Amino acid sequence: MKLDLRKKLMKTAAAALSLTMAASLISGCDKSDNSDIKIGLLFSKTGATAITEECMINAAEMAVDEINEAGGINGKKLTYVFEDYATDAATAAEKIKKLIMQDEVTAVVGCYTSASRIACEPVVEENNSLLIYPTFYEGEKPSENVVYTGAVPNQQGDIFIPWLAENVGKKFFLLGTDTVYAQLINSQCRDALANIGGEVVGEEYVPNGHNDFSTIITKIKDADPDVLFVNLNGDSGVAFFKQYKQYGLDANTMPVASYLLDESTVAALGAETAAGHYTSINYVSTLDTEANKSFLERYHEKFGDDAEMTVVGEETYASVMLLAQALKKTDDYSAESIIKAMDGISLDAPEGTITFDAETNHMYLRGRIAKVNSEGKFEVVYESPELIKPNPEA
Amino acid sequence: MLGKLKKLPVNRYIDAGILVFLLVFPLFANNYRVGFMGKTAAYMIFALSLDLLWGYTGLMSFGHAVLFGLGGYMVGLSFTFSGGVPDFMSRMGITELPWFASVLQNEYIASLLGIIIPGALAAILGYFIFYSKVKGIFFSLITMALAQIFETFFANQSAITNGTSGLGGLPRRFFGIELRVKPFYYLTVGVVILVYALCLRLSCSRFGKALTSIREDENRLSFVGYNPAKFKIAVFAISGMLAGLAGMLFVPFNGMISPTELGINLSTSVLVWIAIGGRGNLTGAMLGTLIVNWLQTLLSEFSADIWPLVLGGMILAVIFVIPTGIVGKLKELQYNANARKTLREISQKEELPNE
Repeated sequence: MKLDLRKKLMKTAAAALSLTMAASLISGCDKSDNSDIKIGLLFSKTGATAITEECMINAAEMAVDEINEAGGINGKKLTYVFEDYATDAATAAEKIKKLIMQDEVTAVVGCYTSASRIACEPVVEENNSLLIYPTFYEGEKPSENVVYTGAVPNQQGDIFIPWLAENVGKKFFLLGTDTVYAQLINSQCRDALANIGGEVVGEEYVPNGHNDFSTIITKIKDADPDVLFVNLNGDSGVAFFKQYKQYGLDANTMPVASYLLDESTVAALGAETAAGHYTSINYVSTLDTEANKSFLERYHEKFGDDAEMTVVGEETYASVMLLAQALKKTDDYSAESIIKAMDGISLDAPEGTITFDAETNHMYLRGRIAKVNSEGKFEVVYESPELIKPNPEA
Repeated sequence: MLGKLKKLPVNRYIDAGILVFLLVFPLFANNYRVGFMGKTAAYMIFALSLDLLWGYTGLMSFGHAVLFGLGGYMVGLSFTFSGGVPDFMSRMGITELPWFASVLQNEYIASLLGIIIPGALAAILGYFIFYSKVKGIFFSLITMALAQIFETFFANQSAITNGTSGLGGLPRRFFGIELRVKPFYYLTVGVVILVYALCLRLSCSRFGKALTSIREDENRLSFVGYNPAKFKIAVFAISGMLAGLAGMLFVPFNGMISPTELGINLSTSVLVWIAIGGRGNLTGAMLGTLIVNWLQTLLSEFSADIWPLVLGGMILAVIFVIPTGIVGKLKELQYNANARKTLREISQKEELPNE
């Protein structure tokens, strides 16, 4: 009897396996016809950053649908192939190879982590294809095959440091994960402070994954800064904010200013812990403009009221729109001519009008400083009067 | 001759099948798929190296990827340093290469180090672990900690390793030979065959028998006058060198290497491949690697969410239904069939004594 059950189980398992395999083979077939334009979407649906990237996937799907509803690209339908890179750089390189070589997509919109972007760059360069990277990041020597739609440090820091010095206080304490990114933005912060008569009263770096900040918080208390300039990766950041509260530091007298504080961090911390801290970014979901309200309304209608929108989601939406506009302007779908077609495009994104910078393949963006209010929502406290020119190699 | 072939265990047929499949695969597949198969072939070497350790000797290493990743990092660093100070270093304000860069800049030395360093690390660790009689789950725990330590260490040495982003843009080179995808693929398959032959030779030798007896009953082996620690250190070192070699072949297909390639994730993945395929017979390691990697890529192309579910189901199925893995189960079936046949023959002979 026991044996029979085992046999049955084996058979069911085998049947299920062969069915899924067959299904995957069928779906592997090319369904689109020649009049379609196919793009690739490469985000994490599984893995450590899956929660953050969910709104990027949603936003990209929504952008494609809206483009098709509005008549497609010069009459052609825009279709996409989605691949999951599972927050793993090697998988990202593998999947973008598949999108370019097997699916023969015109361009890929995707990547969130810097590691995944760096892994994908050689692949797009080797195949002379195009990647649109929709995430704010640390900046780099721009690749000729990549368009970067997110903010680079100067687009966040140029307004942030002077504003903090003027409105919060001139004594800064710098804390970051020991990475190129944190060291870079901290050195930019130090330079900016030197220009406006500010002062750095302490600087600390912790290794990746560090989560005990008791010693550092003691140092912070001794140094007594006005602003804590903190850029900690992932879980380190969450741990710091919690211990900040436990050790009795107060956002009213010593607020944290961070590039890495976004809607999802605030959600992880809860409104009480996150209230009173600052970030500088080009988009927050609470932005009070008609364009943003209508964008969020369409988004929530499609994905439900609980679906979150963050800066990377908005940038992904803008990326697909930018790509569509460029494709409308050219008949030759090579990376070179698509990027050439982007030159001079002013895009009406949910964050407002932004323009493409042909010199760096980045975007001119409006800088915004936002403070978390007592309900855990971002309130924009300052907006740069002009679009800020990107300087990715600063 | 034919009779001899028939007597071979079932897994040798599967071995032959896998090798033929690897050889003809590029005739039917595009470059992307061949590249993927190349990675899988490198993983097969990696799985073979762990099968020697886990399957034959019973040492379940939870940090085998450390040795794989070290091999990969040797060639990765060699390529990165060969063009002078790389971009990520100059961005951090570093204008001079570290002292060991001049050693690694020589591709041949770096390639040799890619095999020697993992082997030496395994031997040194083995010396301390096995002479202090650390056994069973504690060996697994130590190796697991090792994986975590190395992953964090490489992630935090960003001035040299470019941190979590890793080293990218690496060419398809192996011991100074730069090749296109398909030739490089055949080179890798050639190494797979060599490594397979070496493992087979080892497992059939007296050394291999000693390893198996360590797995079955270590005390008994020492009672008859052997020192198990020596055998364990030796197999750990050999396994480490093969893992390093696998890493060196993996990196050119992958085009990059990052700390995840020497962390816990890959270390556990390779255990799962071997468990599904079946351990202690070499075939299972290769078959499991092939099945899991291909299912993963095909299913995730079909739907991203479904893969973790299928993998979880497969692991449960292996644990509850076929604890010896696919190949283990097949061998069992063959053994039972042969036993029945022999029994039948004996009983037939007994029935006809006067013939």
